[in-house]
Amino acid sequence: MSRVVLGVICLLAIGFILTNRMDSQDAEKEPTRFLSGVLSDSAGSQDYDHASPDKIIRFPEDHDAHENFRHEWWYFTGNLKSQEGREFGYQLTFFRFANASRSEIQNAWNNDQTWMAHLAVSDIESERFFLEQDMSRQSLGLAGVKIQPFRVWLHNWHATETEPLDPDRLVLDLSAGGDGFSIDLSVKSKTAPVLQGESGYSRKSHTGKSASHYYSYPDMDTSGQIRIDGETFEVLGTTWMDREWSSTLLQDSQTGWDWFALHLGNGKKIMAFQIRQEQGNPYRHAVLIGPKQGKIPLDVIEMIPTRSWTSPETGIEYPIGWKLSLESAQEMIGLEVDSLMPNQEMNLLFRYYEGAVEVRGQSGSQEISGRGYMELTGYN
Amino acid sequence: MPTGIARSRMAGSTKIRKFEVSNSATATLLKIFLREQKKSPGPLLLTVLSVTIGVAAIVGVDITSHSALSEFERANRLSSGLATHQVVGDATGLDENIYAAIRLDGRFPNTAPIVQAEVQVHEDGQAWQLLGIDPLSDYRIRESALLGDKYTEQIGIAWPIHVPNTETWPIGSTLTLYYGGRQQEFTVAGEVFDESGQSDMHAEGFLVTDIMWAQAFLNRVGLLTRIDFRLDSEVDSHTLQILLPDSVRLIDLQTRHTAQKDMTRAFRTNLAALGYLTLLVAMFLIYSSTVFQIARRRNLLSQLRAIGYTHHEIARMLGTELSIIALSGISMGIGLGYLLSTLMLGLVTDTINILYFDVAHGTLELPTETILKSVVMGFLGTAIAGAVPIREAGHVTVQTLSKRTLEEGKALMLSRKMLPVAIGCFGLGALILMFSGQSLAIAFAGLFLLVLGPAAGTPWLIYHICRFLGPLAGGTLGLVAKTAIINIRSHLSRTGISAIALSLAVSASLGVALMVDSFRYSVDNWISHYMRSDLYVVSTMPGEPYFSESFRAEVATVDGIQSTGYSTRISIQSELGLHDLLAMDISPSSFHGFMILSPPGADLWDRFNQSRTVLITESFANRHDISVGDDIRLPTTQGEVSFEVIGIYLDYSSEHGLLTLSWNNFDRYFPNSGPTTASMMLDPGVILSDMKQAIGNLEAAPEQLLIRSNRELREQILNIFDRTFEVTDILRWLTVLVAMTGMIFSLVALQLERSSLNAKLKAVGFSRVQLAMQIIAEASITGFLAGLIAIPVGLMLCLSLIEVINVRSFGWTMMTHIDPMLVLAAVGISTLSATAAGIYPAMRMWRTPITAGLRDE
Repeated sequence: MSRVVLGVICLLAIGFILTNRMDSQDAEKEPTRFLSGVLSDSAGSQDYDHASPDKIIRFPEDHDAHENFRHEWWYFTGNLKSQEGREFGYQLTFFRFANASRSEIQNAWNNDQTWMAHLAVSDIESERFFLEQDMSRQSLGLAGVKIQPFRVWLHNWHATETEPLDPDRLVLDLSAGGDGFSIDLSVKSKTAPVLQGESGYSRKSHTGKSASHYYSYPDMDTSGQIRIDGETFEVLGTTWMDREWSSTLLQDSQTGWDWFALHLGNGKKIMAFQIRQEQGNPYRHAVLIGPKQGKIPLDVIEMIPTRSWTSPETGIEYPIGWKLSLESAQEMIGLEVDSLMPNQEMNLLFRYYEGAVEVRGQSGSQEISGRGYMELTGYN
Repeated sequence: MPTGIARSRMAGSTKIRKFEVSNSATATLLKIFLREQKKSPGPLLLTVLSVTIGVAAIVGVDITSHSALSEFERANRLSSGLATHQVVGDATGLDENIYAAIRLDGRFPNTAPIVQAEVQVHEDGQAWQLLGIDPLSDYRIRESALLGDKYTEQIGIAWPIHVPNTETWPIGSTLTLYYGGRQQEFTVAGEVFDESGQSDMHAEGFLVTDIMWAQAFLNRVGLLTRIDFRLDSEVDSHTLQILLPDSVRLIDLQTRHTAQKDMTRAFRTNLAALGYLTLLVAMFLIYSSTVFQIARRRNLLSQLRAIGYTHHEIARMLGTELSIIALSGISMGIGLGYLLSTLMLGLVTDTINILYFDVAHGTLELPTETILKSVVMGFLGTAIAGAVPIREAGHVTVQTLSKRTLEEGKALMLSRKMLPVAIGCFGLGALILMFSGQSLAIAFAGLFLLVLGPAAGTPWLIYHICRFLGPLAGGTLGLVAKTAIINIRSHLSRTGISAIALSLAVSASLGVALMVDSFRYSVDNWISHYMRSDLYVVSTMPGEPYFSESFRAEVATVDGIQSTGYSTRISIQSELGLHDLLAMDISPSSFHGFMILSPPGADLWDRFNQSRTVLITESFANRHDISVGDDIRLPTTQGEVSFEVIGIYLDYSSEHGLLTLSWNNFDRYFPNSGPTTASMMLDPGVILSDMKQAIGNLEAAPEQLLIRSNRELREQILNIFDRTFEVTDILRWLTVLVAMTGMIFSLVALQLERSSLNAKLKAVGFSRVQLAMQIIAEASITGFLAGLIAIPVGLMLCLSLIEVINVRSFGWTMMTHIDPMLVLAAVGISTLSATAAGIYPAMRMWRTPITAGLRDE
């Protein structure tokens, strides 16, 4: 008898059981356990492929799933404004997880690919946060990804390519909805994708033992509708899309990450993250992306929390204000990053903080400001 | 200074002051009364006991019904979770792509696929429901998620399963499941959780596994048993209906659960009625005891009146005292009722299992509404019973001191006055019964009045019977009997009330017993007609209980079998709700076993075999108000098809009714997997055990067969029948017990009052034996007379139960069968219980020295 059962389902099950059943004491430790379970190398990642510096990323092939890697995502975050100037943030993410082995039994439900999707809308003006999750096995066509044209979906949530003409550029329709809210957006990348790290090979630790393949479309024109409680808002704005796949994103000693995707007013973008260690210095990485997608590595001098917020639902304290000091060969960049509204906690099976932020600071001598998204994981 | 005087002197002071003084007067009186009670607590305790048993009966029935129902609801919650609707297919199942289409549509996110079947667990030999779920969608329906923390331990486990209790089956242990001829070893991976997230120790009957294992084990690849939905509105269900293919059916669970619960309503109402009857009997005892409590303290009350206490104060005091009695009785009644329900729960759930649907025994619950109801009913019963005597006690004056003869005169007058009330009560009861429409509760109210009427006339009857018997007894039965009869007559205020209670209890008991006996007789008669075969064979293979063609062919070749009929029974959800459908492939002679009620005497064999015809049972016809010639629309494999009702027949196999159609019709319109039951007529002289063995040994015989002879099956049916009435028996006996307690109490009270008379009798030469015999004779004669009076009342009750209550509750009629032994037994029980009740007062008298009795003079 082969070793069986959808491993990831089990891991997911831990999560939702915990979400549903956790008392506050458990709440303090379980998300970390979930994270380390899903994203670290401690749960049989030896059975999967691993990110390699030799990998050459190609399009559109790499928009597709990499089923031999444990986890993968198609991640959309955006800052939008209605015609009346009402500000919104949104996130739509499709996660794919694989488990190491499958049973010999023959039916549709015995599938080693599992999908999870998260949708969130931040209504900044009213400080209301809407979120929803969905999950499914890659069975009966309930979830999956395909290319030419590209489409990733979970049930009726999807990101679907509408103009499959230029392999370097993506034009997609995003559609998803939860209880009392939904999004229908059209996103169009202005430029070719940015290969993060070393040609898409993104290290996640000092030792290089954890790494992922990672590329982004940091600047996608966005238009469409956001519906909240029956009210429709026509919105415009910018979306940042991340694609990442890996089998070991975190080492056992790493507890979580703080990640920033920022659109500066001067047309430049910054992607910065730190992966926190249980002990010792976090692993940090930052990059400045110019208007023409030229990529300039940045040294992270400082990444310090300036303000925190405690979730009334989970009691978890998140650092929602940050001071970033970054340095390139040309300039010093000092940024104050702050949540546009405190409650943007994704209190779902996989609990984390994903929120729209505002940015203020200086790039060299120039005053800059902008919008962006911040993701905080592994807090408890 | 007596408070009453203080109060009168202070006339004109403020209201507040009055209130305080009045309160302190009550407190003083209460102390005096309590001191009195302490001296002789027996009567007080018996009064408390009356309230206790009356309340216990109500609480017991209520808790039992409530617990059985909440167990049903809990099982439904476990199985259906928060689902409001279900989509089901036909007997073969539901294409899982329908689920995929609904999820991809996106409008119904709260949806979960289920694969479910009854399986057999080798380890305990029991049948369990195996629930195959998809945890990734199931949490939307069963919010708690049925799978627990230990789910993670499934990683690397093949064929994992979750059980209700890992103490019985520890994690890692194995369970072998059987289904449809297959067996599979599962490994216990965790516990099933209830809504609180706690391990559900009582999720009896449910095993949970992932849908992929369930499909594989149950051999249902590509198929679901159902899809659960949590829909927010009616609009959603209409939208969903449009989305669904015609071949499947959307079921509103709320409607179905309510319908299922409603099925048990008649049964529960019948039980509750018996509970209330016990309280009613108890009320007579409360009345009687209150009268006695007052009579016994006549001296004290007169003295209190003499020193200035007002009748209001005395009445208030007695009221307070009665309230304390009620409160103690109610508290103990709740406790005793709880204990009683432990005894009854198993019986009630067994009955529900037999009559309605599968439900585990579950746990006892004491709902707040039961406590409230028992408090209200306890107080109300006590208040009604105690109001009249207390009101009268307020009017006790010094002059009326110890004038029992006056009271007896009053009692006699009252008994006369009660006569028209009794007749009125009876008439009103009869009218209500006749014109109560379909309401069971109103019918029961009528029935209560019908029984109460004659009971109220009991004292008058007893008085006149005793007057007639007195002179006769003197000559034939001797002095003791004569004194006893005179005593009964002259102490009608005591004996009358006990006789009412006893007569009421015995008549109710007799009525119910006669009805049950008639029912049993009818069922027995029905079995004789209906079950004409010699052997009955049922496949008990979980999942696939069907006889194959090859089995049928083999059976046809067995020597000694004259003819074989086949049948199967399936559940369908038609426009009339969820009900059973029986398909029969039988010979004309077997068909003639049907007891056709309408059209009377018709030979329906040919019509039965015509296309789209159906027979219905009497209860089905009554429930849905369907007559011969009507059409019934049934969901078939060809869509909704109308079937003509060609006849209505007598059947006691299903309370909620049954549709019967020919095998040809069944085969054409319903998913036919084959018959599940065979009935065989054997050649004369064939030895049953040999034939059973021969059938069991047939090559194509299913692995698990249950072969029963006509006699065995008949015994089993009657055994089941008897089991369903066990709980009724308990309540019946409880009522008699209350009446008996009342009798003891009345007689003790009487002896207390008559202690001086007894002493005088002893003094003039009556021996203790004679006195004791006289007391016992008095009790026996009262019991005997109450029993006699109970006979016509019991017969009437029996007829009302058969003709009105049963038809209304269950929709079936039965033959009235009066077993003289039961009638005699009722009189015997009445006499014996009264005789037994006389023993204690007789012993008490025996021990009382003459001096003690004479001291009171």
